[in-house]
Amino acid sequence: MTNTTTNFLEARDLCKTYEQAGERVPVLKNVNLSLARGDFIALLGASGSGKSTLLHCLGLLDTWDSGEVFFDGRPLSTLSEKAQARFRLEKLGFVFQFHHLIPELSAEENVSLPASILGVDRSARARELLDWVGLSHKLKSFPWQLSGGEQQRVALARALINDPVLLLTDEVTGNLDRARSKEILELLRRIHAELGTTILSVTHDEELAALYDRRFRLVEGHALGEVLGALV
Amino acid sequence: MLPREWWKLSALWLLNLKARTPRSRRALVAHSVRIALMGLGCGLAALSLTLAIVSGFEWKLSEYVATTGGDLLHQNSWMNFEGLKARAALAPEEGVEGLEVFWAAPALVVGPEGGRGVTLEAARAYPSVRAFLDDDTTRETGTPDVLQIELGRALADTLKAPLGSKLRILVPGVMKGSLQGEVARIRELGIYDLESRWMKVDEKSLRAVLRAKDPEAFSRRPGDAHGLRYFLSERFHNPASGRALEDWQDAYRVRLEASPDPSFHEPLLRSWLEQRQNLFGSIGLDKLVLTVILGLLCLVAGLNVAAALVVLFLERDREIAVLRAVGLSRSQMLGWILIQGAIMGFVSSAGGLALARVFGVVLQRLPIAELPSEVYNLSRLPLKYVFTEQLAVFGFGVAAALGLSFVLGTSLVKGSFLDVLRHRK
Repeated sequence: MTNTTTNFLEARDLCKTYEQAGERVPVLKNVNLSLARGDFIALLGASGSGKSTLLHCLGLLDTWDSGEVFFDGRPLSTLSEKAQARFRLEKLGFVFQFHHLIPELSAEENVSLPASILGVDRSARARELLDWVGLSHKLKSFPWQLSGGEQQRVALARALINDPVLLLTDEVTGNLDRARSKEILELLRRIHAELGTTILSVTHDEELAALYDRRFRLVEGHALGEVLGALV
Repeated sequence: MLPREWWKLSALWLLNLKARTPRSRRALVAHSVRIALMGLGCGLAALSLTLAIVSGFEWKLSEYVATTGGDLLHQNSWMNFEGLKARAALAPEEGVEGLEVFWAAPALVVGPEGGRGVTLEAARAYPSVRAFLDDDTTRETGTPDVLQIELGRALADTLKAPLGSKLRILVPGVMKGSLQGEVARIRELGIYDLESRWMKVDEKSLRAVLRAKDPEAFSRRPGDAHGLRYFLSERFHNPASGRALEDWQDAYRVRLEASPDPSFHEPLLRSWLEQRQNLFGSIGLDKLVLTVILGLLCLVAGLNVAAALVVLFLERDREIAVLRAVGLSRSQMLGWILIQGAIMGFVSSAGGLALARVFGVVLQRLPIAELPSEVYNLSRLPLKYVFTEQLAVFGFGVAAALGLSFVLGTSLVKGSFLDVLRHRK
């Protein structure tokens, strides 16, 4: 794939296999990927192409068999489990297709939760972020009182509470209709523009991917490089 | 230490409040938690109540032994009676509420159906001991020339000597010939009367008998056993007072050894605990065995806590997976599991102890709490909730829940959370 001028996050020769019915099935095959600070990237690919697995490896949610992931030039495989958790907490933000908000907590409390893992009180920041994503009137609402799009916006605010440098999103619009999907994407673009957060989004939606600055494609575990232009 | 929000979340999850999961799954979690709390709580209630019952017997028995037999026996087989009287005439020791000078001698008693070696004992309460032999009240009241004796039930049963029956008492080396005795009282000592060889004489009739026989033959010969029996204040009448009693005894020993009279040196001192150490040792052993057995049962009940936490964490796997993904470390998650275990242990223990109190009150109102007084010296089941024991039960409950949660937690935190993030449940 294309090398960028600054290797902020870099995957080098990343390989991963899964064991399925006693056989080892390769998912990632020598994937190379570099992200520069401030990138706004879509990672495209068909279902089963390995894009989510790659995202999980980059976000230290999953392990890989060979190769390495570097963050600011530092190999991440050498980090202990505790250091990996701390890294995710301080540097990364995650948003998943299913928001998995905690039903017993209000929107504000859900957003504050990662900060409380860090041991700091950021309730003011949580309110600010909820206001920023357009939910200032829903601070005390519980997840089941919110629509799908609102829940995903709360999840976005939660991902931003610790001011991550890299936001990883996995099919965040997968459960939303077209209009809500575009709203979420607009929000991601605002996050990128106003907060300067680097964003890497996994999606299979070519139309939405076209709204990103850069697009990469994975086909059956192989990186096919940057997709230039509009739709493929 | 996890922040306040996590305690709140733990409590919400445990109590299943504000949950929006399907009713059937909610019921599963709620039932698991409830059963776990009840299981451990009932186990701890049984442990608490059992300890209270055994301690009740132990404390009642202690009180009985200390108040009837004296807290401390100062005995010296070669000391003369005058020396003891002089000692008794000294200023009372601190904490002493009563004092008896007693005379004891080995004797043989012969009843309607056989005889038995006994310890014959006479007592005289301080301060009138000076007048023991000079007292002429017996002459005035006309006490018969027959020794009035008091038997323990066990000895009376052995000798088949009911009230009013006549006995012959031989005190070789002390009295010439035998004394005629009459059973004036039988003490209902029941199963606690391990000293079935004990026999007490009435002082007035003893005085009369001695006058009629040989006044100087009594209590002046080497071989007679004389002693002082101290009755201390109430605080020495329970098993927890062992240390205080020992201190009092040591201080008393020091004062005796400092006495210019050499007959007080190297005194033979025995507290009520030492006099009945076999009995209290066996009760202590019983208590230990019961505690171990019920403690193991509580541990088994505590497994329910671990099982409930498994159900709880499996039910909440989506939320936990997201939290792990955003940066909750394994140690923090373990801490979280321990918080939940601690909450369950705390609630179970508090509930268990409260339940034991309620059971205790109910139990004492039931007919089964009535005891045959001729056997136990008690009319009702005694209960004594000793603070340190109950605190230990409480601590054990919390520790058991915490320990089992730790064992469970260490394996739970190693599980993969990634699959859950990929799928909606």
